Amino acid sequence: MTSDTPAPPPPLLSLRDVRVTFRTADGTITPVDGVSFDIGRGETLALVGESGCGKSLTALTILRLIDAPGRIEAGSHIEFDGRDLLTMGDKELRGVRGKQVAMIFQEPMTALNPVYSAGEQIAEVVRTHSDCSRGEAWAKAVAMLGAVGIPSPEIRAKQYPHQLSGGMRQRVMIAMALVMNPSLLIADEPTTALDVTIQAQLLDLLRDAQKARGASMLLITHDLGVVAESAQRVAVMYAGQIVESAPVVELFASPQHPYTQGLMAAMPRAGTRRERLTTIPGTVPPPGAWPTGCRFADRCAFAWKRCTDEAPAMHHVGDGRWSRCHLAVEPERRTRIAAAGATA
Amino acid sequence: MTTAMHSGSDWRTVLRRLRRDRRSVLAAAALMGMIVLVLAGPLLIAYKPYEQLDITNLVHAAPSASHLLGTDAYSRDVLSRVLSGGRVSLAVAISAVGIEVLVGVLWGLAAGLGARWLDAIMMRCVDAGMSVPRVLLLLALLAAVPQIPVWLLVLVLGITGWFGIARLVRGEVRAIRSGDFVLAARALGASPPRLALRHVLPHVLGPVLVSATMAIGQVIVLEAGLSWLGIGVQAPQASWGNIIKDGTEFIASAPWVTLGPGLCLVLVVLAVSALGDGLRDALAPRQLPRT
Repeated sequence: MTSDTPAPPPPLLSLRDVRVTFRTADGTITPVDGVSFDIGRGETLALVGESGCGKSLTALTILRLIDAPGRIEAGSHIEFDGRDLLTMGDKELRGVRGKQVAMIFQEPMTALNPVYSAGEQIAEVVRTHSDCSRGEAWAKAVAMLGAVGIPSPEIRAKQYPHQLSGGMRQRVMIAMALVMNPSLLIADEPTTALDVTIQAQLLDLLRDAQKARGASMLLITHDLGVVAESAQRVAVMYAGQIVESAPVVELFASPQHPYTQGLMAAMPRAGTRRERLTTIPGTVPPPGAWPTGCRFADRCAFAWKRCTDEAPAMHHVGDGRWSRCHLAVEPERRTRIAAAGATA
Repeated sequence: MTTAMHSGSDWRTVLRRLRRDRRSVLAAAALMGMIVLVLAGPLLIAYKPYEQLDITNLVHAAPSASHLLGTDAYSRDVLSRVLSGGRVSLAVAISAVGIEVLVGVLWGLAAGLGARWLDAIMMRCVDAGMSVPRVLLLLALLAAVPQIPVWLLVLVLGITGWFGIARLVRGEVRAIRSGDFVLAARALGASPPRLALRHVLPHVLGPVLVSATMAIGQVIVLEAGLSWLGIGVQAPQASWGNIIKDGTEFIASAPWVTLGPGLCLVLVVLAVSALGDGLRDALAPRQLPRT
């Protein structure tokens, strides 16, 4: 590939053909099967998909947090800031975890250690990554609690997780992730466990913190509303693969993959009256029971013979847009089926 | 805010619950009293534990104002021997359990956090250790060393007793390691030793403390048994076990020689096990007390 325009700056994080396998009693399954994406500096990429599609596992893979019997397969490639995360030594990797790449988990109830106070948990991260004294680390922790919007942080810092509300616990998690000023935040459904009103506050907090620090973010969610508010680009995952990727505006304006279209149709919209929300029939098949052709074929309204015979490749379908669907090369089928649907 | 989600208990809460439990308070007081008594023994009693006071007139003297527990076959003051022996018995038990806990906790942590193959090898060793009766193991080891010094006795008691604690810790660790907060700690860069000691260890300390308390009772009885057989603490050094041994021959004519150390032994073991029960209840108040 040659072009006259200068090469774009290298992405902060780059995944290429990442495959994770698990050995089970019933054979080897591949819940993350050839995932590739880039996140630029300061950019937010939303990774979207139903439960069980492999998005959380993909996040854990980035920091090599997959335990036996799971395995990151040879041929996978993860590069962060010019360094290969999959081949670096354990010690170097620990220097990346929490310091340059920090993760925020879904359940603040269980992701905080019940035996340490809020301040101690944050100070622990500081002391892991720097030579701070106890006092300095504690002062940083208290300051960080204030920065994530916790009132009277001096008092809250001494409280234990069970004494804090869900929203506050998640703020503590965010403070733990932000305290070392990481250049990449991985937020795995950071607001799913919280009340809707608190969700919005925390998303604002995350977005502001990210912007202030110029950090990038991988936002994992199944909530398309969250995506629209927070992300610049979206990758839609289905059954261990990315099936569509696009800038957020374009994705919402014209989803290309039938699965994405289904997700959009299943989302309630303000200003429209509908008796019932549309649903996608069926469920994500478990890894190991994936069809040989297109993995979405048996839930897809457009599916024809080619879909069950041949797995579709990722097709370039516009500027920065990709779709893993045979419709990209046989677009006439889309209109034909739509017409058939209209006359039926 | 309810505390229903809260799995651990902080130590202040545990202590408060313990203080409300009459049985635990009584047991703790009895233990404390015993420890103070044996430590202060030399100050309270005018006679030395080895001193043969009057081998012609004071053999097997019944308890009296000057000899509260009477005297033994060598005219030694039994009370001073019981206190001196208690010092040895308690010190041996506490040190041996210290070794049990140290080895058991480290072993269990390593097995619980280690790779599967390491876990398998380490736990098979524990199984092997547990499959041999401890008394048999001790008899074999101790028979090899005549006139065993006390420090070696402590070591031998310690290294034959950690298997249960290792298994307990390993089980708890296995349950905890899959927890979100362990994953979160790893994601934030905690090294394996830091993970083990700072993030996992605090969660197993409760059960370990209960089991260590119970183990003290066990080791005291074990040491007494070994000393009674003559392969534990060696004469002239007194311990509760070998005082009972000395008194056994004359149990009909001079029962006070065995009665003193016997009662102390029973009291300490009862107190320790009651305290262990109380601790267990204080740590896991949602469980109904065992009946």
